[in-house]
Amino acid sequence: MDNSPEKEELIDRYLTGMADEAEVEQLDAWLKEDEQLRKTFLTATRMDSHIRERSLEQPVKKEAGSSGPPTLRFRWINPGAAAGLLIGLFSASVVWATIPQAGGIIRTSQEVVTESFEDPDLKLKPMIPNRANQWFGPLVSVAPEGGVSAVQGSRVGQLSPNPGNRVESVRYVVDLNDYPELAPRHVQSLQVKASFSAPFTGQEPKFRVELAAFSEAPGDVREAWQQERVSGDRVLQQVMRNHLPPADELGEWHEVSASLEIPEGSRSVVISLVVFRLDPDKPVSDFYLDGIEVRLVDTFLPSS
Amino acid sequence: MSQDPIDQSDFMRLFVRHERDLRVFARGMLPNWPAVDDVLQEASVVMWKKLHQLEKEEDFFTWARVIVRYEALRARRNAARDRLVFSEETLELLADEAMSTTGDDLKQERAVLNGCLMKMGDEQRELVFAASMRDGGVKELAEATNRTANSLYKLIGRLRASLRECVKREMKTREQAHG
Repeated sequence: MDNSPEKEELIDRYLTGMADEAEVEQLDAWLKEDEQLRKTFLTATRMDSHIRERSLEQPVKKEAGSSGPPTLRFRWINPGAAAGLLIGLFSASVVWATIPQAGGIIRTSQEVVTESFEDPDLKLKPMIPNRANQWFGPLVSVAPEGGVSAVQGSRVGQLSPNPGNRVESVRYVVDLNDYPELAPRHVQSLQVKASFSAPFTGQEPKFRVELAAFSEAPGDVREAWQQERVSGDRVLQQVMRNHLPPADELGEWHEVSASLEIPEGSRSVVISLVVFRLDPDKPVSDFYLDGIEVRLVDTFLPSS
Repeated sequence: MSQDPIDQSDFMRLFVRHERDLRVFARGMLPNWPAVDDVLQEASVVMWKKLHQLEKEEDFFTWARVIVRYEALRARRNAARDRLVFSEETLELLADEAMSTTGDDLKQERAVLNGCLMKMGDEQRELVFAASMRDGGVKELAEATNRTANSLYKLIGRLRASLRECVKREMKTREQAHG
């Protein structure tokens, strides 16, 4: 199992993206002739894979000893996302507002994500999410045309249904470990608002915002999701809001909102923005999504 | 054991169950994580189309790895001008070797690695995670922390080496404990 430190260091440089062309060529030559080194290399790639799995599960780090809302110090963005690895303060994405309510109830609201699909190169992966903080679904960013105007910004998300499917979804997983733990007599809820439009469908669409809380970490939500469909015992709490637009308002934007009270023991909340083609015999055309806002609301209920 | 044909809902369940292990397999053949993402995406489409070829659920992992292997080689041919990829011959040798790793092996390795990571300090663990997040992660971290990439790379290299040693030691202990 022993290889020279030089060879092991080169494997490390390759796996961390530090190796240059000459080094890759050298490693290739060594691997070709040395079976033991191939075993070492594969062990190293497996370690790298396991470390990466763990790193994707890591919650955002919070400053210790702070009594107020946390300041984010480090945040690792998923490598699948266009932004890649970002390090530093994300204070702009953590906007807190305190809203005093009648009866002494205090409500604090924190922005989780806003999305209006402004990146022209955005093309989401059409799959069930396997990580937090990233949108998934059959959606691309487009400039609105044909009488469609954006709700926010200058672009919209175009959701193109597969002809064989009556239902398509865009999904996002919120990792609750990224946010402060609940104090006694506090209740947390996730509020989601999204605008849907189906100007060219010529048929009856249905729009839905669906929120589901799971105890699983974001990396395990896909499996839990599938098990839920089979055995129905994995979702801790679920809310869905449907909207059936009137036939003469199909070209307009329809804002659909839903709020989920997050039960104890939740780790992930899956947000699904769903469109239905109610009449599968009518031709398939695109749906549009825009103006998505997700907020985490913390409500303090003082003892009476 | 049911002999019912494997349908598309079974496929989703099987793919989700084995996806992590398929990613590990693909990582052994591909130079970076974006390439792994792309190949897994392509391979999943091929699996979906060829699902009728799969006779038993128990064969899914082996069957799926054959498809991932083929797609990884195809991706390598498409990137033939990229000098940072291995030769096709080397990839074939690596794939042959990697086919012998079982899902149970990977499960055990994950458990051991988790134990070793927990023995590290928080900052050390963050550095190790940073380096594995994406290509060039060490360089970006060096810029963000005003250190030279080389000094940071050496530090992370030492941490990864100590992790490897820890895993090697723990695996050996487990093997001895199980006779």
